[in-house]
Amino acid sequence: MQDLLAEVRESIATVLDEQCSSLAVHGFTDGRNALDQELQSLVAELGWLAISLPEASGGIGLGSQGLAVLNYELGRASAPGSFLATSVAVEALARSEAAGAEPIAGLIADVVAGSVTLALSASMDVQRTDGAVWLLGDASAKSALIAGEGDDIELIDLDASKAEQLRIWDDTRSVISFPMSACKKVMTLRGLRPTLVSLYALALAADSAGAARGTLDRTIAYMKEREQFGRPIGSFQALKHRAADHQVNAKGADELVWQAAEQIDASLPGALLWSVMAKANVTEVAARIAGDCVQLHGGVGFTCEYDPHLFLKRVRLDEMLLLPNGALRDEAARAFADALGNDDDVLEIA
Amino acid sequence: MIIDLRHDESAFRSAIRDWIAQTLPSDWAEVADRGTENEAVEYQRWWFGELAKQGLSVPHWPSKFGGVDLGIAGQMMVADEMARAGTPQLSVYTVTLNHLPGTLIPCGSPEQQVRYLPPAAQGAVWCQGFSEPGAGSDLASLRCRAVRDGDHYVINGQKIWSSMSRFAQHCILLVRTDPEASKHAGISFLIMDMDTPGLDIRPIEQIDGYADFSELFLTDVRIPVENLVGEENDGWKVAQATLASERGVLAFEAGERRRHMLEDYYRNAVAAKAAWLEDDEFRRQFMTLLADLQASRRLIRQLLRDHENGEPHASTAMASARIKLFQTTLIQKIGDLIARIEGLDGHLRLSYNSQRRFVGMFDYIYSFAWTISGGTNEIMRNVIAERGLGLPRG
Ligand SMILES: Cc1cc2nc3c(=O)[nH]c(=O)nc-3n(C[C@H](O)[C@H](O)[C@H](O)COP(=O)(O)OP(=O)(O)OC[C@H]3O[C@@H](n4cnc5c(N)ncnc54)[C@H](O)[C@@H]3O)c2cc1C
Repeated sequence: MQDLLAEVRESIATVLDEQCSSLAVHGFTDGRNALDQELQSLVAELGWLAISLPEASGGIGLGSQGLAVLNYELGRASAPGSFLATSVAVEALARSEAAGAEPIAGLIADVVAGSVTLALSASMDVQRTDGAVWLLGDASAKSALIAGEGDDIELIDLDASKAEQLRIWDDTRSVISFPMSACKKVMTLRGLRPTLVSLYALALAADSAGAARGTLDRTIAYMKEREQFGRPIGSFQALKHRAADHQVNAKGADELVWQAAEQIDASLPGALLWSVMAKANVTEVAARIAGDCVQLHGGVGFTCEYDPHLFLKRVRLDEMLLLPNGALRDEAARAFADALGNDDDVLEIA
Repeated sequence: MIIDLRHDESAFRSAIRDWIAQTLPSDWAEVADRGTENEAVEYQRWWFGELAKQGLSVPHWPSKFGGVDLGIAGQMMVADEMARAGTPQLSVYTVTLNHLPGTLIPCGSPEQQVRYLPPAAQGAVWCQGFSEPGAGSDLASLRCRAVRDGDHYVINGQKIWSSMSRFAQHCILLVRTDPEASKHAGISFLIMDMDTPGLDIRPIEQIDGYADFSELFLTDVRIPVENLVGEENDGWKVAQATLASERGVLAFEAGERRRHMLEDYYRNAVAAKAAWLEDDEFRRQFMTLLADLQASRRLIRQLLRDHENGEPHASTAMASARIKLFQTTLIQKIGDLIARIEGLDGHLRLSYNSQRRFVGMFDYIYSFAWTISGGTNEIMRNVIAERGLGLPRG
């Protein structure tokens, strides 16, 4: 399984290095290409959304680790599109009790084939006072998962004509607003919330860890090239030490992503605890790294022309999605106390 | 003997568990915390002796020197069980267990190996005399002078920060044998007996109130030439082997012990309905650090697996520098949080001999030992940036 995962990662990375280069992403954010659409067809063609899905749903069964690898690489390339929302939503649907029956089975097949995308509640708790719901996903998304009563999740169908595209700082992703009245309930997925929250948290952590890696690699390369005072800025110790800290913290962040993915796949009692802790810690580490990468670029870091701003805005959005990190840590603290009470060893590492 | 079960993980682990339960008094930590520092050292000696009887003192050493060739996976099992049971930490034996075999096995002569390793396996205490007042991070600038006189070297100079040296029988010593050569080229590596005339050991009171390290003054100290490890003037190379042995399983055990200490701390807080659990900042910071500790423990496991699989030294050395920086920074953050949680009570000078639990300010204060010794964290950052990330030397 680890070999297969490494292979999958390698192939995703190779494709994205080619198709989703810095140049291409800037072309997209400047409105000169439709990279998100191009990637959408490519993803369908290469079957990337099937990587995590169980075989029963036509997937190759790499589970949460597959989901993490995909989102990590997408983050590393700062890839535009609604892949995070779609991959999490389809994986959650495939894990719901209703996965084998219509309309969900058909929806999953359509997602894998690339004919539809899905959306997710941007926030899993806030009820907006204006009667609208904010969703992470494309305006053309067919359906969305939003919070229901208690542990229930609602599958809703979306009417694209009612979608309001919000202008957000992150140019690589899309958030839309829907009037609640325009959302058509398809079905209530009983008890799916912990599964959805775990997968959503994991994907956000993976995207952020990947983005931190991406911006750090590019920044280190820049530090070797850019000269001031007659030498590369990377030879200044004040900057070197920051780069070393970022390197170490990025490695730590990666580990939290795998910790969460392994726990979810093994259905361990720590699954929810580790995924929300991964989201909280990793998005904050990534925000610190991505912010400093802007600073380490100097003036060009303050422009739209260079890459650092893309990553910074992306990880800042990741950090705010799902639930505030404080609330996630509170949830983790409760789960940890419960685990200690039940003698569940959630700190054990296989 | 327990060690004979080493090929059957569950039998091996449960034999260790049972043996600890029978051998180590359950109130040892409370007793140690009430006693003096010297009593705590005696306790360590007793515990080392008990481990030696079971073949568990140096299981990772080659069998011809008193070990049982226990591989890394086996060492992790032993360290894990010790951490789980919260057994006494063998800080007096740090050099004995790690630096000594790390040096003598690759670089010592057969006579030196046979002469020093088996007694060390039975509890001889060793110390390290590398640092000097003028040579710390820039260790190669050391000046302690050795002059050949017949079949002896005569040493004059000063060493500092030598941990546990006042309890030690032997010292691994770096000296300058050629003052004319470039700084890395004129260094030799010697073994010194701590009862040699002319050696004056003066304990230094530490930030934490203990006096684990001492200053060593050497006046015409005579060391036989047979105590030279490696070639004369080739001591820097030998010292690299010593320094490479400092991390690894040591970091593993430190991480595992902290895992249990944090878990106990939280469990006790929940049971006592501690007020800090209601403090959003403290509770959330605790969870943040608990997650980082998990990341650190995973990184250490990865490193040990790579060692076992024979990954090239350059890549494991870089991983171990990263882990040093990550883990010791984290230990400091944990100490800092505990100190803030404990508030004014944490400022009472309580004894910490047992190192079995978090005690007020202690862990925070002690955490600087981690961030300074074994190559400061700034030196680690230099290494990671230059050799790991390929940033140009300044
Ligand atoms: C608890 C403890 C136990 C120890 N045990 C032993 C022992 O048993 N045997 C032994 O030989 N030694 C021992 N040491 C010594 C230890 O190895 C040195 O203290 C350490 O290498 C730093 O050297 P220094 O104290 O001279 O500090 P310095 O080298 O003077 O450093 C002072 C400050 O400058 C920074 N600095 C120095 N050079 C650079 C650089 N190139 N770039 C950036 N920053 C730099 C350092 O990081 C530090 O912050 C121990 C130290 C401690 C704290």
